[in-house]
Amino acid sequence: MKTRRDCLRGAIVGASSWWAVPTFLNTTTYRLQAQPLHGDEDRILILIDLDGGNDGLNMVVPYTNDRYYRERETIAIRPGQVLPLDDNQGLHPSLTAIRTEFDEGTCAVMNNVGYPNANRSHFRSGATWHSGAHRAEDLDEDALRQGTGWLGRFADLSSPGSPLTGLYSGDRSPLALKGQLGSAVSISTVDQYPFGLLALQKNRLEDPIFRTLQGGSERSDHPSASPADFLRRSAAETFLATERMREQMEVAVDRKGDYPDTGLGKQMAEVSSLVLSGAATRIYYTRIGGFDTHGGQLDRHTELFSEINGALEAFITDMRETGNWDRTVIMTFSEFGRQVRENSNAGTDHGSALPMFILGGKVKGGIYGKAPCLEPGVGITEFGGVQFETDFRDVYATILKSHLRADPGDILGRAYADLAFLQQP
Amino acid sequence: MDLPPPSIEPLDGSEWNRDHAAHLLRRASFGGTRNEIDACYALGLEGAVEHLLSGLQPGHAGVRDTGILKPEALLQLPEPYLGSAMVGSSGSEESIRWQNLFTMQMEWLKRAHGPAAPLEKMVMFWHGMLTSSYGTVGVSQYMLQQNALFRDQAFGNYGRLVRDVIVDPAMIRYLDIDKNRRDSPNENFARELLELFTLGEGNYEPSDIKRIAPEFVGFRFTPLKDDPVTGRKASGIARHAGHHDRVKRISPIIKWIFEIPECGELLCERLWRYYLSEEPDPNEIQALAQLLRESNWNVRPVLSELWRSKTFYSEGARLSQIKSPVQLLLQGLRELEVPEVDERAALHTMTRLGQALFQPPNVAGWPGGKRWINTESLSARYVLGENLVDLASVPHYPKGAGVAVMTEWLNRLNLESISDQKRITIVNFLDENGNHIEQLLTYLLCLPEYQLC
Repeated sequence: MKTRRDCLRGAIVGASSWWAVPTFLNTTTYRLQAQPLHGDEDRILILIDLDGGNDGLNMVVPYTNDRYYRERETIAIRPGQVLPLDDNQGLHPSLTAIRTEFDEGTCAVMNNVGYPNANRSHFRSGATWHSGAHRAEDLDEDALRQGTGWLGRFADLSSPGSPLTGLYSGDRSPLALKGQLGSAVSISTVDQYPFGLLALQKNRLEDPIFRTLQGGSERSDHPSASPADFLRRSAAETFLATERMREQMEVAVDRKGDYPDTGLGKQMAEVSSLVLSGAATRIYYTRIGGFDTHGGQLDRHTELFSEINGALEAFITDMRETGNWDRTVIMTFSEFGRQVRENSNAGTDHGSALPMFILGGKVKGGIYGKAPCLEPGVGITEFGGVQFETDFRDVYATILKSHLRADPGDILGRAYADLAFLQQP
Repeated sequence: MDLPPPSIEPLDGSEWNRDHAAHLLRRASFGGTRNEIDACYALGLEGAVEHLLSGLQPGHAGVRDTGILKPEALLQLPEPYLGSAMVGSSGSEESIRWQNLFTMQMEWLKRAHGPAAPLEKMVMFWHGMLTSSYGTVGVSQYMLQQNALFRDQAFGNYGRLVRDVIVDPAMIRYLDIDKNRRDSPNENFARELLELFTLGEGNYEPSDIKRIAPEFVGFRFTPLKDDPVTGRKASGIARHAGHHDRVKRISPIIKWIFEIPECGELLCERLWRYYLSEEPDPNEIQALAQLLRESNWNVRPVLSELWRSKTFYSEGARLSQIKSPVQLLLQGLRELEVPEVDERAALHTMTRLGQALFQPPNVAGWPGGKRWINTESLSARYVLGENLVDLASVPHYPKGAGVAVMTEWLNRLNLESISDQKRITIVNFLDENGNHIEQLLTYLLCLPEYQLC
């Protein structure tokens, strides 16, 4: 009996025969065409970007620390409300799914993650996290405008030229997934089906004149390609990738999880469908905005964490019940944490380090690093944020090495520590 | 006052040709119709630049419309402004907000498609640099008031504009200046003022932010109130109480910023990227910044220098920009000589191409360049191309005119750089399909090369 993957492979190879694949794509391993994920390369990574700068102290609450309560008279989470992880820290009450995974031993809580001299601009600090650049100072204007992201560089090395290695949802192409050879494809393209984009593309692609007119230079995969070359390359990528995506989305899947009708819920449902359909995609980027809580933080946080919790609960159910959990890692991140002291508007201003969650079947659960020390001059930066202890690039390096099986040095520019929160291959 | 000797080599006026005029209109404006290009060429280099700096398209004279945008429809709609952002509001409120947003966008696009296109292009520059977003500000009147400020001072004084925009309600709300309290100053605004509006990263110390943040404490204003009986919006834009007091209080900070030697470089670099190319020449940026300082922060001499420069018309500058979504829409309308902005095409541009006016993605504005292009935005650009062709009234050509038809349209659409292979494909298509001009135009407007400016 043929498996679903075999059928898919046949359908995709057959469908591609009428398309004149540009040379630069033809000469690379075009994964989805013939090679579903297998063996060492079947691991997938899902990022959840908590956009706006997440207040980590109200996500993983130091509920036995008096100073936390002194600095936050209005917005502290009370000891009776937290979901305790140990004697020092507990989760925001909305994060029940994280708590379940923590109890299962499949959730690592990474304390105080950040980088030296943290920048408190959303864009600078966001670009630093997305790029994984080895020094924040390396990020000049050009790097911000045209730079690459850590997972884009991973895609460049692991499957050069394949635009489907990374997928994101939404209309903002994340820097994290941008490589020198290409950038990620948005899942939203599929959402746009009612707009007729995919239908239009299909008609167009079957038109030989249209195809000829889209073509162009052989040099188009060169990093210093002209804007025209860049556009011709983008056009070819767009059409190829969209066609592949359409085929992928047509594979019927049976999701088990109960996805809430929220922004992140929909994103995670799409990711789940793609994973269950056997997609060759290895990196999925999802995003939830609204974390820039300068005011009215308590209610807003509860909404946001409930949204995350509902989406994660459904997604993890899917992955567990379909045998995909062991090849999955989910990582939350944000451009910075917030200041320890609340402001006068029941909110918090831009800070520095914050905790991250790493979830997955092969994650070694537990709390990594000490609970944040909130003593001025010791655990608090000059500008009132939580002092960083773990470099976020150590977290990346660990995921690259132990999960994605890549050489972190090639991607991050130098060696970083292995934090050993993943079972060794 | 004598201006300093030009440090940037100007184009020799005797070299001025119609192609230069078309290029100038594409960059300093949203392109031109055939008549406008002819008129621009006839003015000569100096005359054309001067005319554009009056804010008007060549071929159009008279008083430009400088007032605030006044979308009639907006005044009919209640503004569900309760101090919250767009997210998290109830369904009907959100839909009214989107309606308001689109009404403002349409009004602006209509203006930008009129005679004052060069002015509106500059207004959009300021909107992308000294940003505010309707989603955060929540009050359409404030957004329109800020927009009027940009229009009023479009080619004016940078220092004055920075001062005026930060005491204006939209910015006060957008960057939380009104949430600033003496005991714990909010640093959001102080940071963006230095990083994105004036000095740029690296030209100030992090401690400067802490130092100046308390100076913006107490910037508050009473929101305009709707009439509770009739439901009509408060009309008119009054200056809010305390305006003069705020101006007075921040003057020392503005003075300090504009005395820092690097001030002005950021603006000149942004102007370079906006009007010329993605690759600013550091020496010429220095020269422009010096000119800006010596002209007491007036923007006009800088643009005049830039638009007359040899670099501006060089091979390297041509086709070096990726059109912004608004540029793609408006230039397309002018090239196809479509007189009105079509609502459907505009809505599509605003929602699917990645540049919703009045709603920049964040305080840094639209990143632009290659960042305009991703899988879905490129697809959406091709859909827009099809929409535009539907709007055009296409002339009838005699049989067998394939080469002439192609030549004309490649020139009008700025596509003369395409490869010989593509030209052959087009001529063959025309030979086989007679005068199927709509189909031809669809092919051309869906070319990767058509995305270039």
